[in-house]
Amino acid sequence: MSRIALVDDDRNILTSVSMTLEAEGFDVETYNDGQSALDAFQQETTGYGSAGH
Amino acid sequence: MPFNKKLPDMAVLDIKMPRMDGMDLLQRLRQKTAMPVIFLTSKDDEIDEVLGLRMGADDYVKKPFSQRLLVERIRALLRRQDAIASDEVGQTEETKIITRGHLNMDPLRHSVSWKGRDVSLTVTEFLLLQSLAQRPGFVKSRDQLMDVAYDDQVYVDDRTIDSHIKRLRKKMRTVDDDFSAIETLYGIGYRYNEE
Repeated sequence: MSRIALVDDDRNILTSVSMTLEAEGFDVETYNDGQSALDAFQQETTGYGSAGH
Repeated sequence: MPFNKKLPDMAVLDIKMPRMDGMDLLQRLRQKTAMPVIFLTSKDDEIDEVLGLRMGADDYVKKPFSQRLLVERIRALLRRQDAIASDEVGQTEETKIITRGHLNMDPLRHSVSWKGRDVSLTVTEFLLLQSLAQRPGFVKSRDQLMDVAYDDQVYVDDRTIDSHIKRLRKKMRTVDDDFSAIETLYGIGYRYNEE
């Protein structure tokens, strides 16, 4: 399963797009801004799948 | 700080965001990873689309977009990535290991080395170098290179290819100051010269 990071400050987009992608079989991580995404990517641990909103 | 080893397979980034916008994030990502990136752009971001591709984004989708279109673009980009990385397709032109002079490219591992030193390339840069190196001495026009690097739906201008080539050369020069295997033929295109 492909994992996709979705980064947008528009909550409606985060919600609707992640729902669609999940329905299509993707694993989705959502972030409200670039910094949060970067922080998550840089974390040493691997448990960051639910970061974001 | 190093990136987590289990990065997502790809990222979809809005351009205008508080704290760190999509352009900044892409720049930070590109310093360390070749993760495929699609930009979400607004109506008033047209300049950003071109700039984004030049900075190393792999594709963009305009807002407002249909969810179906975005899913298609995501799948297309992941397919391109897989075409480079897949070990199921056998030894086709796309998956064959290329050795040209000091250059070594292994599409199955998405790895590139020059004079034995590893170079990290994005999907787009990899596809361009692969296309040039497959036929050393033959000129590839910018149009041909665009076809290699992008799906038909993506409109990019000539200068986008130039920017990718520029960045590609710069990366190669980080391991060899004298790297000159990619030659520009003004008004025509590019050629890989095997030493």
